[in-house]
Amino acid sequence: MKGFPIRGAAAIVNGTDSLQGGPLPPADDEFVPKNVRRRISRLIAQALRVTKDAGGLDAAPDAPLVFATANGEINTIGAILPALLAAEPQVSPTLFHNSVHNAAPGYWSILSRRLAASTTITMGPASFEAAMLEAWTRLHDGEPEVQVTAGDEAITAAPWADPSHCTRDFCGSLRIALDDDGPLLGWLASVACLPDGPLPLDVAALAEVLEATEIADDPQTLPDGAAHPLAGAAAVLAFLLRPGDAGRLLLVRRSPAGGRFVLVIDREAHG
Amino acid sequence: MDPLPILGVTAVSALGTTLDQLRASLRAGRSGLSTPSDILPGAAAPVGEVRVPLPPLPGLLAAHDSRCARLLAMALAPLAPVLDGLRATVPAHRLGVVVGTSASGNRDLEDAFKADGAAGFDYQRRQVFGAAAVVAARLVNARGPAWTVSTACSSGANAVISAARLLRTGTCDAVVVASVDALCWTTYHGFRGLGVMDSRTCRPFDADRQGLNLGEGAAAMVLVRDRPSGPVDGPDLFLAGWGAGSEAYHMTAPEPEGEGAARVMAQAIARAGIAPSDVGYVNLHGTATPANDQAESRGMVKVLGTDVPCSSTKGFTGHLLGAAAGVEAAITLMALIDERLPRNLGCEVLDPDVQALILREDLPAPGIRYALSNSFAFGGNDTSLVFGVRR
Repeated sequence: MKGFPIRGAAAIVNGTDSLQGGPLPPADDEFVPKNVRRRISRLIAQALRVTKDAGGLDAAPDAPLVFATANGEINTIGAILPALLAAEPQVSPTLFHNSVHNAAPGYWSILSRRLAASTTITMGPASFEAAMLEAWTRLHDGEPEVQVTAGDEAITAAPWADPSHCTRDFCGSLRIALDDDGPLLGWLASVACLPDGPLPLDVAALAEVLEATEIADDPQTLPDGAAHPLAGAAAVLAFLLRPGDAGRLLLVRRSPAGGRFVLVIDREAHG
Repeated sequence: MDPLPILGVTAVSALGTTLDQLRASLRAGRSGLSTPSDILPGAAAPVGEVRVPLPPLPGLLAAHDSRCARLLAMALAPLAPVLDGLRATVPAHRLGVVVGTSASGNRDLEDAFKADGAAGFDYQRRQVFGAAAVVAARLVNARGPAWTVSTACSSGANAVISAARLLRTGTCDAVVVASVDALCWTTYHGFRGLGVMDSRTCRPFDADRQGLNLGEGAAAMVLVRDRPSGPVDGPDLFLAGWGAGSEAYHMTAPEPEGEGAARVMAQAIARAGIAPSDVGYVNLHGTATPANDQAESRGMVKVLGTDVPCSSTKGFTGHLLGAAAGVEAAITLMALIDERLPRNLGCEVLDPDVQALILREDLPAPGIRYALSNSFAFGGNDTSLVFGVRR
C-alpha cells in the first residue's frame, strides 16, 4: 500500500501562524509584489503562500494545481453585493475577477509563470477530500505530479452565510509526485469514495485493519478547536508536518451528496 | 487516448429546452439574444435568457431551490431514459456526478440581499457551489463520487475532463456531467465594469465587435467507460480527448498571440491521437470581445491553419459562462450528428485581422469525424475538448 510520494507540504492559519500554532516568517514580497498584494483577498494571498511553501515552484513544469475550497471568495461576494443596491451599480473590476473560485490558481499561474493546467473543486465540507480524489485520478492517469492546495477564509464580510461554520482562515498545500527520489514527508496510500450504507467495516474496525495510528472521522474543526470546512485538510497536514515517528492516518469524510471519501496517508519518520 | 462513449446530451438555453429547438434556431439563424430582459430588467444590453417557466425542485430538494438549480434540473430531466437503461449494469455507487458552474445560486442570493440583506437565506443549500453537485446527484440517483468544478467560463469543460478521469481510472463506470449558470447582476455589472459588454447584439469576429452578451442555461451528458451492447439510436458519439492549461498572463486579458489557445488545442489533438487534418470543425470560445477573438483566431491558425471551418455560436446564445462549454459541446456534437456546421451568427463584416476560416453561413460537412470545442476563462484557464463520431 505504498501509493504516491508526498514531496512537500505547508499550512497556514489566520495568515500568520503555522498549523502547530507558532508564528511563520513574513510573506515573500518578491513572489507577490506589493501592488498585487494590495489587490488580492486573504484567501488568494494565503493560497499563494502555501502553494509556494510546499515547493510549487520546484514542481515539474506540467504539474497541475488542484485547488479545493468550500466557500470560495465568499467575502469578495460579500463586498460586491452592496454595490448592487445602487441606482447605477458599479462593480469593481478587481473584485469581480477576484470573485471567481479559480482566482487563487489564476494568480498562482501568473506569478509563478507556470503554464500547467489548474482546476477548482468544491463540495462543501468534503471539498478537500473530493480534490484529493481528483488528484488521485490525475496521478493514475499519468500526470507527473499534482499539487493540491486547499483554502477557505473565515467568513468576515458575508453575514448571510452563517459565519459560525468557518471561523478561521486556513490554507494548506501538498505536492504529490510520482518519483520518490529525495526526502519525503509521506505517502498518499489510497483515496476512494465509498457508498452510503454500512462500510465493509465501521471506521474503527477499518482503522484497525489498515493499522492506522490515527483516525480523523469526519473532523469539523481545526486542531485549535475552530470550526472549519477544510478540517480534513488540516488533519492531513498536521499529521504530515509534525515531527516524530512514522504512522498512518485514516481520514473519513461524509459527502453532502451521500457516500464517504476515505483517504489513507502514511507518514515517514522525521525529526 | 481510448475514446469515451457519450450516451445522451441535453442543452437548455435561450434557444430552447430541447435539442430539436436548438437545432431549429441554429438552422434558421435565429438568435436567442433579446431585449428587454425579464430576468435582468432594465439591462442595457441584450441577454440570452431561458423564457420558459422553470419547475420547482421536487420534495426535499426544494431547500436547494435557485434559478440555477432549476435550470440544472431541466437539463438533467431528459437523461432519464439513458440512465434507466444503464442501471441494470451500473450500480448507483459506480455512477459519478460532476457539475460545472461559475455562479451557482448567486442570482437568488442577490435577490435575497436586495429584499432583506439575505437575513433568512440558506446559503449552504442554495448558493454554495457544491450544492449544484448535491442537487444533480440526488436528481439522477447517483451514489458515486460527486463534486462541482468551478473555473469561471471554462467550468463546463473542466467538469468534462474531471469526469473523463473518473472513467479512465475505473473509479466510475458512468458519470453524469452537467454545467449550469443563471443570469445574475454580479456578472452583468462585472462585465460592464470591465468594458467588455456590447450594448448591441454581440458580433463575434466582426470588425466592429465591442464585447459579449450574457446568456444563461444548462447542459448535461452521460459519459461511460464502455458502450452498452445492443442497438444504438443514431451515430456513436464520443469524447476523444482534451487539452487544458494556463496562460500565466493576466486575470482577464488573453495572451494576445493566442499561445495559450494554441497549446490546449494542440494538446487536445495529440491526446485524441488524431492529426490536425482530421479536425473538421472548431466551435470557438468567441466571446466577441476585441482581444479574445483576435487571440483565439491566432491560436487557431497556429494549430489548424486557415482552412478548418470554425464558428462562435455565442451570437445565438450569449455567453453562458460556466455553462458555455456544456451547451457548446452539445452544439458541437450536433454538428457531428447532422454533418452540418453552424454559422457564426453576428459576424457581418469579418475583422480583416482574423485569419481563421469563420463560417458566415452553415456548411454541410459530409463524413466529418472530429470537432473541437474551445473554452477559456478568467485566470487564463484554457480548455479544448475533442469530440468524435462513428457512423
